[in-house]
Amino acid sequence: MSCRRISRELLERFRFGDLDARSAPHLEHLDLCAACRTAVGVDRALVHQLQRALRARVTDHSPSAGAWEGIRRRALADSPPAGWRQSFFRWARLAPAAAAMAVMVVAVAGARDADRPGPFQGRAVSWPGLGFQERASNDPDPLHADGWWLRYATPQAGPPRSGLTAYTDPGSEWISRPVSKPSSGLTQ
Amino acid sequence: MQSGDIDAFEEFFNTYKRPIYVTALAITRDPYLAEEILQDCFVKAYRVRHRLRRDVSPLPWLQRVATNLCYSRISRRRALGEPITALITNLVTDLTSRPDQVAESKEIIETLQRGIDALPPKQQTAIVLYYLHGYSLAESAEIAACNVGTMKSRLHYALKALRGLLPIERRAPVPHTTSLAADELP
Repeated sequence: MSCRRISRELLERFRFGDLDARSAPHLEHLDLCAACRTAVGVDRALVHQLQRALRARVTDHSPSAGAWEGIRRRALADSPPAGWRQSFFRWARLAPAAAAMAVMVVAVAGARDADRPGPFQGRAVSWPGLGFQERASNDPDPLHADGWWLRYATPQAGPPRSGLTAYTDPGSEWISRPVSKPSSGLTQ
Repeated sequence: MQSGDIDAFEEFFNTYKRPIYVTALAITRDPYLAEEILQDCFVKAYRVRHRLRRDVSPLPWLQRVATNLCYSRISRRRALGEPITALITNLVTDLTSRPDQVAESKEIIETLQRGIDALPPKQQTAIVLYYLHGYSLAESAEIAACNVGTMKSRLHYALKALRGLLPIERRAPVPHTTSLAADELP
């Protein structure tokens, strides 16, 4: 092993505290070689002086009293920039809750409509003698958007019977009037 | 703290401000810049507070953020051609030393200060972490986001550069052979 190599390895072991049993040959060499002793000694002195120089840079300095206030102000003022990932994951976390809410809304709406007949379904009765058919429906009515209403299908076109607040559906000649609730006389 | 309680974050700041400030100051040698870096570092920590792990110390992460901020500030300062801050020769002198030794020591420290300023930022960071903070090689490497071998290499080249600044008589002679030196002969 050359002196140069021993010297290099010695310096590294001294610098990084790696001296162990494997360092015995190096230490033996150090005992014999004045040049290596000097090299290691100067290196250690250099490290010592370097540590002093570094400490001198920071001695007698500390953060000012206003440092925290500056951080506090900025921390409270700067809302974190919402990157698309952050936004996505924030919304993704709400997805199950949103889905549950949607299901609940649909279920409630369905329950409210459960006792209503569908458009022109069921609850119809014919009045042959009167020449028209009566149906209960919750179809959208341009005159009576809310509540129940009746529709009269007349076999012939013509004006509505007197006493009926009705309109004529131009497409089907249906006549409608509002009622508070389906007539109990209506049958399936 | 993770919930954003500013009071808890103040405690967090008080716990870790000193080592972060020391790192920034040792690298930049500018107290105002060091405080700016300190603030930037903790504002960044506040923004990601919900991601900070509780099972490990946040100090290595904070040190990494601080050293990265130092890199960018130093490169900006060098790019702007700003003159290096006046030397701070706040010596810790040994009063029992002889006056000539004190003078020599002061001269060496000043030389080293200039030498540290001239080092590449990564080597500066390496010596600050290893020789000033006393982090182990593994810890220093983790903070600097490199492997242990790279950290050793940075330290080696930093010391080599600094050693080159020393007066000739303080440098070690370069050994070439295993033969005994003339003054060692019996």
